Amino acid sequence: MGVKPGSVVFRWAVRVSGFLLALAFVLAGGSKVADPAAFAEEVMRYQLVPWAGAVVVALWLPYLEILGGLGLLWRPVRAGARLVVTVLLLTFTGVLISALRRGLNLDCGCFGRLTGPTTVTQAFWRDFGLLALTAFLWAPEFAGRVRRITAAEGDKEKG
Amino acid sequence: MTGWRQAGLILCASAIPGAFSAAFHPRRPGWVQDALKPGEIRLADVEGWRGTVRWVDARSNGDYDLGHAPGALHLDLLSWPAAFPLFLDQWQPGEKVVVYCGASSCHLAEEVAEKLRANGIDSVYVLQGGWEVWKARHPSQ
Repeated sequence: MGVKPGSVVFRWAVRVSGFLLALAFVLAGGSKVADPAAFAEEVMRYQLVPWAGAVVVALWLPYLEILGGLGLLWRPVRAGARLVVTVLLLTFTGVLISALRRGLNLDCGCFGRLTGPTTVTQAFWRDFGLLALTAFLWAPEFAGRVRRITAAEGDKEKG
Repeated sequence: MTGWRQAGLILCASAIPGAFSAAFHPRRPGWVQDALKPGEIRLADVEGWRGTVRWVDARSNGDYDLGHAPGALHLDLLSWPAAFPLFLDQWQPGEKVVVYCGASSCHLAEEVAEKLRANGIDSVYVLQGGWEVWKARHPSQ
């Protein structure tokens, strides 16, 4: 038995996913705002960007996470926030895969000091779970497109 | 407004507090990273190493008792005759050794590192910023 787009269960799944993602992003951003210097060091541990790049990430990313998270809760910018959150999660997952492949033994730093030490593997699975939640955010749009295409094909056949 | 334009708006809006942080945040990072002295290593680099790291605490015995890196051996110039054999028991050839003392201003770690190298221990580094940096990274320990 599948959950149909437009059903009450589906709508609630979309809402809850949006709320959980918003909460995760606001907490993740908020935990890094207090100490950008420490976050720049965390970014450097991944050995992917030079120091100046880590500084830009440390100064910008926390606010991007917070606004992306809050945007998921505010209808006028929800579509953009969904895009930002999805791209960020894909980027984080790529960075974690890169760290895993290089055998880097480090603390993820994803939630600052809000959570205890998190290994790269644990962070990867957490990001994977959050990415799965984003699928619910995109589902209504895809369902709408499928409906429109189906309706257009139906009109053609009638015509 | 399309999703792309909204995303652009969010990107720009988040850059504003980021710029304020760059100018006024009390904990803003500098644009140029502190240069390493010869033999020094950053904690970020140590944490990226594969394999085990042998930590050596070159601070006083009292400071060591108050807190130290997990598995760190206390080894300063005063305790050298008794502690160096213990170090040799634990150290495996090829294992990297990182020595730290209290802070950047402290030179005990450099002296201990120099003595370790003189005794044939390869791959000895001094932790930049010392215990202060380690403690800031691991506030719960």
